[in-house]
Amino acid sequence: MAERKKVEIPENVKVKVSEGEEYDFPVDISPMHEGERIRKGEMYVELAGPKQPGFELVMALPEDQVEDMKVTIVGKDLDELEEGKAHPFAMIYYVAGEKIDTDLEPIIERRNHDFQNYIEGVMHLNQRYDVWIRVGKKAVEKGLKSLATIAKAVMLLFKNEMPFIEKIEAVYATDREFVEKTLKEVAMPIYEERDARVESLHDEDVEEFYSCTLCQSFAPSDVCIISPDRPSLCGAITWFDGRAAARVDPEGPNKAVPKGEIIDPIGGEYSGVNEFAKNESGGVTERIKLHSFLEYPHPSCGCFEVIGFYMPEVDGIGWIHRGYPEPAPNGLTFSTMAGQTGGGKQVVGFLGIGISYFRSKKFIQADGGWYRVVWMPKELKQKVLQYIPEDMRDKIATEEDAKTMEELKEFLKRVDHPVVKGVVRPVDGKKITEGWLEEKEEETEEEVEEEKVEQQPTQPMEFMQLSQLQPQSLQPVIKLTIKNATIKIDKIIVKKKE
Amino acid sequence: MDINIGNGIIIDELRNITIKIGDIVDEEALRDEEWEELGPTPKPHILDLRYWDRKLLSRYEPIYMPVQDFCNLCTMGPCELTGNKEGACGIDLRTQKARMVTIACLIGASAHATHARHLVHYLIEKFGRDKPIDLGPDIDIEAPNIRLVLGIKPKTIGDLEKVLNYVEQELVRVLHTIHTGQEEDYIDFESKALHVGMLDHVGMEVADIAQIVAFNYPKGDPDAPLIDVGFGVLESEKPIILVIGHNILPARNIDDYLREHGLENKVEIAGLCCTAIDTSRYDPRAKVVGTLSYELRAIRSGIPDVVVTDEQCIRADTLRECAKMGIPLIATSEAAARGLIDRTEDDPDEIVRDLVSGNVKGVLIRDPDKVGEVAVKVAMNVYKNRKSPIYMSDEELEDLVDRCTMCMNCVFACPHNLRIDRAMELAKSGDYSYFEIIEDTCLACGRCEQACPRNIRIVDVIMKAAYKHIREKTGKMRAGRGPIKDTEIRKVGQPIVMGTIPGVIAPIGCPNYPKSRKEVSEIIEEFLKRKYIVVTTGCHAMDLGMYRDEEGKSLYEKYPGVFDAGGLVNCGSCVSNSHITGAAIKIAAIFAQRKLRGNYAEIADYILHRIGAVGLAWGPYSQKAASIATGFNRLGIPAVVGPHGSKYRRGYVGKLWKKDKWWVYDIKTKKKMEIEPCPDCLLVVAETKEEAIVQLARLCLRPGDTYMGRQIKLTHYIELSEKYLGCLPDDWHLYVRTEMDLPTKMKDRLLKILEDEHGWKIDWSKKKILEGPIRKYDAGFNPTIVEHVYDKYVR
Amino acid sequence: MKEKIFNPEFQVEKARKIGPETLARILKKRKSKSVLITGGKLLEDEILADLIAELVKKSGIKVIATGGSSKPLIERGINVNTCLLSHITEKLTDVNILIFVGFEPYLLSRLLSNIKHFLNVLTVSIDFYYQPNAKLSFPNCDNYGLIETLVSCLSDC
Repeated sequence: MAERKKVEIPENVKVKVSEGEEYDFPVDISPMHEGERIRKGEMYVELAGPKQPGFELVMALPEDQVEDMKVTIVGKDLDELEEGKAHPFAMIYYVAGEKIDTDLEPIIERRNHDFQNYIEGVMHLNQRYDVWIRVGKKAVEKGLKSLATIAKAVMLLFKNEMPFIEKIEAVYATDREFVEKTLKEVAMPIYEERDARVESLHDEDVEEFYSCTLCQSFAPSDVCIISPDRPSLCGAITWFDGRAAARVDPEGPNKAVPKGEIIDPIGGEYSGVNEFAKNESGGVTERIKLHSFLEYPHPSCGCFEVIGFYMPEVDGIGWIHRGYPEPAPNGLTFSTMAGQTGGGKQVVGFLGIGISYFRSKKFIQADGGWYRVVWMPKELKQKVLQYIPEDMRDKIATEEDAKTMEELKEFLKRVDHPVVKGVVRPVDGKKITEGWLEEKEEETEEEVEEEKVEQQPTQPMEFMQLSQLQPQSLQPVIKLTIKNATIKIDKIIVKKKE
Repeated sequence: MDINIGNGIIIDELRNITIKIGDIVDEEALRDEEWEELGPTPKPHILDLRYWDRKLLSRYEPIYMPVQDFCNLCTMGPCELTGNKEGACGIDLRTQKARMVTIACLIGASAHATHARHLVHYLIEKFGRDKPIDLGPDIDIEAPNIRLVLGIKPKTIGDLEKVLNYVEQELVRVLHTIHTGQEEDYIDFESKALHVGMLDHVGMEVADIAQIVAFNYPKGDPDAPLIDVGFGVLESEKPIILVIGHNILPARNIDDYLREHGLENKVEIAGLCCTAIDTSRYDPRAKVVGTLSYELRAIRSGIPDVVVTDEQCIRADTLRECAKMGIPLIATSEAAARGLIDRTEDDPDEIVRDLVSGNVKGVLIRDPDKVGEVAVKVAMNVYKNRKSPIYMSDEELEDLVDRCTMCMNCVFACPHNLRIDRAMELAKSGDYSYFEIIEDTCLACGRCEQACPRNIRIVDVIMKAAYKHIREKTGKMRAGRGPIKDTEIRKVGQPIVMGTIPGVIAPIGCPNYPKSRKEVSEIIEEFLKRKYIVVTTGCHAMDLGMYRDEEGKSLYEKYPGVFDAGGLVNCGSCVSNSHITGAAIKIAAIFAQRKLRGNYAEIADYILHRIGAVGLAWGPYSQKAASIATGFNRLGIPAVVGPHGSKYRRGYVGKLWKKDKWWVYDIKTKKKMEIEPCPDCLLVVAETKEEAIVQLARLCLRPGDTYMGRQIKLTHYIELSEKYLGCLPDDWHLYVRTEMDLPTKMKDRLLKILEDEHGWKIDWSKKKILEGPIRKYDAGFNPTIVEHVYDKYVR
Repeated sequence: MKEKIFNPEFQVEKARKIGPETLARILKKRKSKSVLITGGKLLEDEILADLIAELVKKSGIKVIATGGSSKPLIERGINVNTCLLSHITEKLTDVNILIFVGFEPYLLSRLLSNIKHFLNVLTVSIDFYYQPNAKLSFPNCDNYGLIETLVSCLSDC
């Protein structure tokens, strides 16, 4: 594990320290300044960005090592930097709190982007070592003279937004050597460690999942269960995000969901999850299989980015993303299919998901994962191509290969897609479908023969025959004669013969 | 006698039986008809939704501000009703005013219903009953208002006839209740007014869907083309046909005629009012001069070569004014025949000759498909290179200014009490700048001229003095795109729940603004910058495009046309207001899978408690605006009106501090609970743009807000109040349920105020609120005030 | 010359015209519990805002500032209550005189009409245009003279 300790500040570099809270900011701080663009002509300086090294990093440290609300500036401060140019820039935050661990670091770090953008005259783009910041001339004219002011504003917002941060200290650096050295020796190892953790963390490795019921504000019975292998379908919340939110308010909309007993390890069904879902959805959802499409699929509210649909004609699953204008091979558009599900209901045959679920190693594994997928629009396929197993990449049709059900069947036969002969589920090697065509024909022939055989021994019962027809060999007990009646029929429903 | 049934009963004989059969239906068609479970109120009649209206009105009390103290509707009067006295028929002042409100709504709703009927009738003749209604792949719920109110899914244009039959029938029924000696209870009159408002949105939806489908308008396209707007569009070297009104059929015929004869580059079509908006949806080359306040300005400038009028919001002196300027007029609607001879059956060339020669000042042609030929031919023949000065010469201007004696009759006659006298005073010494300020607000209604004892053409004086200023007013408006797409609604679900989109503001309606027209842009830009979604229609849509910033960009060029944070969406003309209620209805269907079919009260209850949308009618004047606003209100969407809106004489105002009015049943906890007072009103008047901005921010709050949503809404409410009103709002603490609702950067300061001024208990070590809020935040809070909805969902 | 009234309106009972001295006397009576309600005109009229601030300081009258008039008054050191004009009736406990100034004339007339018919409280308009729906009103006046006189009357005696 990469070591977490305070970065050593070299002896020969200019250092400025500012302690204590600041209350009067020369510029406005408000969410309305998010998205504020500062063009080259308007900027005072550029910090980090494509031309200079830079990074942002949050490190969790023990409480006694963090000096609350202290800012150390390594190198020149804002008013000493050459105007109009780009400079190296590093932002390091040390955080301490009883509930903080290294897993929360990236969640906290991501908010640096939001909070710096709240500051009028400061623009922050991207994250990690791609950060790109500009400070506007107008802000400097208004009185923004020191980087410490920016740091203090951000630290104040951090503490207010995340009360589990009990102490926070910042180091902002513009000294090139320091920035480059710290990036290479401290930041990069930590980023790589985090990425590896996300990659390696699976449902089995954790004690609890997290829930999200924010959407109950619009869909009162919707519950989302977020696990390491299944992020939220709106795309906004990962398991780590859920964890952080549950730390902030354990009784809030993101709660910890203890797994309980494993009921179905492949489909992803847990007793704790089921019980939680039943309570939070008011009884609407009683069982969820996290990684299944056809059995107790995860419910959705309506904001999913992609919808999956089962096509019985090919025994396969197709996916279509929001905004794709044409109908899928089943003749339905995204909007029509989306209207079939949502509202917190589980509807077998349709599943709303977020694009990030395609990345999951357990992607609908109960139903065969990628080996059951038969169709997706080209645009969507390109986005997730790297997550599709190599041997399936050419077997999943796009609108360029098939637009109608007939064309799809042709295509799938031609590429010998697993659904044709029967899908073998990679997770346990079990064959889960029977495949199509030849076998089905044989089946129907058998059925017909069986019928013929059955008809001889028993006479089927027929009811309500008028006296013109021969009564069957029944033992009629009562004969009725109806006289002088008016029969009013409200509606006759005519069923077309198949 | 014991009868053993055994194996069954056989009917042996039928004698003298009559079998009456009702409907015989195809099973497939039945499945289509029964597309969803039927709700409790399909095709509601006057009293069917009364229970919902009474609930709304007990919280949002009607307050009456009478314009006149008496009633003179019948011959037993006039009856003086001061102090809420009763008149000769027994009606009291309050009920009489509620009756007036119902009358205004009826007038407005019937305008739209008739417009819809004209369109549907014409389209069925032209395209047949079976023209399908298809709004593109991204719009699955094609007619939310129709589905909600009637419980049917219109598939073809022919289906729309049924809808209009219902609307027209209900309008007549409500009209009959206005008769002397009917309703006694003012709340029941309000209920009828709300009923009419609801019908209005259905009628509007019919009209807009019909025209979008038949004439191929943009279908929810966020990149609909940008149209030239402003008085400056009249500066042209070509003949101009000016179309005024709301019904696109005549204007469309003119456009078609030009294209069919290769004349589209030789003659221009410019429009005023909704006809302009709709013509530009049909053909982006059409130009939009502006709103109804430009009518007299455009005619008196003498620039148009032909004027074509249809219906609604057109000046009642159009023929007289056109005749004075020598501009031939073609009237096309039975609603405004202007005393003209009906020449519908005559030979077009004869009509052209009569108009060109000046033998007749105008004609009435009722067939829209004959207007094009006549209008184009007349325009081309009458067109002359204008060398005479627009409005008047400089000498005449001086002369008229000299004539003024500053008697101030005009000031008192002006609806805005504009200080024309001050402008004249300055002008007498050669300074015409004050006229520019007046021109920005002036409605060009002409009342000043009617009151002037020295017969000064005051409107012309104002236009001439400010002419350079008017000419420069050109901008861009995005062509009306019709509905909000289902996919756009899905996309904004997550940002709204996560608090990145604070709400939806809908500037709609007429241009009777209290001050400069620019104020609407200023109000709206404040919200666009703060990432609200803005949806606009009608005259407001045109005025929003009229001003350019320092870089020469109009609002539509600065902000994208997508229904998303910071997006400015132009739905279209006045009938496109139905798409705004439609979007709210769709949210209930898409996110909560609530059934729409005949289920009005449940959906309105859902919208009232969850969807943070508010309308802004900054200059409402017409009866149509009254019925549109009332229709929004019944569906649970509040609106802020400009000060002239006080003359609608009725507001729906909630009493913030009366705790027993603010309650709901929570389906989750199965309890009746107190809630915070939001939305605080359904219809309220704001005097200035500062007040309007703060009130709009407050009206986006809803009981169903998540903590992130509440936080961002409160952030804007408090920031805007400090910016424009100079202080914190006095009720902000009512909307705090948990410390997570507090705006992040103000958290410490606000917690202190809660503790010191309101006596709340705070745990400072964790910055948590222990005691004080009206209720705690619960993500699963599922509010309703309707008993049958509670029974339906409670487990 | 005929008396001018803005916007022809139809009242049977019209306000009694009153001068500043009389008004000052009414306000100083012990039983008078008055509230001053200000409107949006204070935002665009600096002189009026100054005058009203002086009026409040000299008389100590409570203020409900509507239409955004809170900002100029707070800047001049006056403590105010704010709300929308339609909401003021909720704030009127233990008040028997309402004084209005600084409004769009047609808007004020509407609210005065509501109070006239449905509430029992004395309404006074000290605005530039005569308000027929008030119980008492200054006559039409094109300058600040009447208000200035009122201010000086309230500070003497």
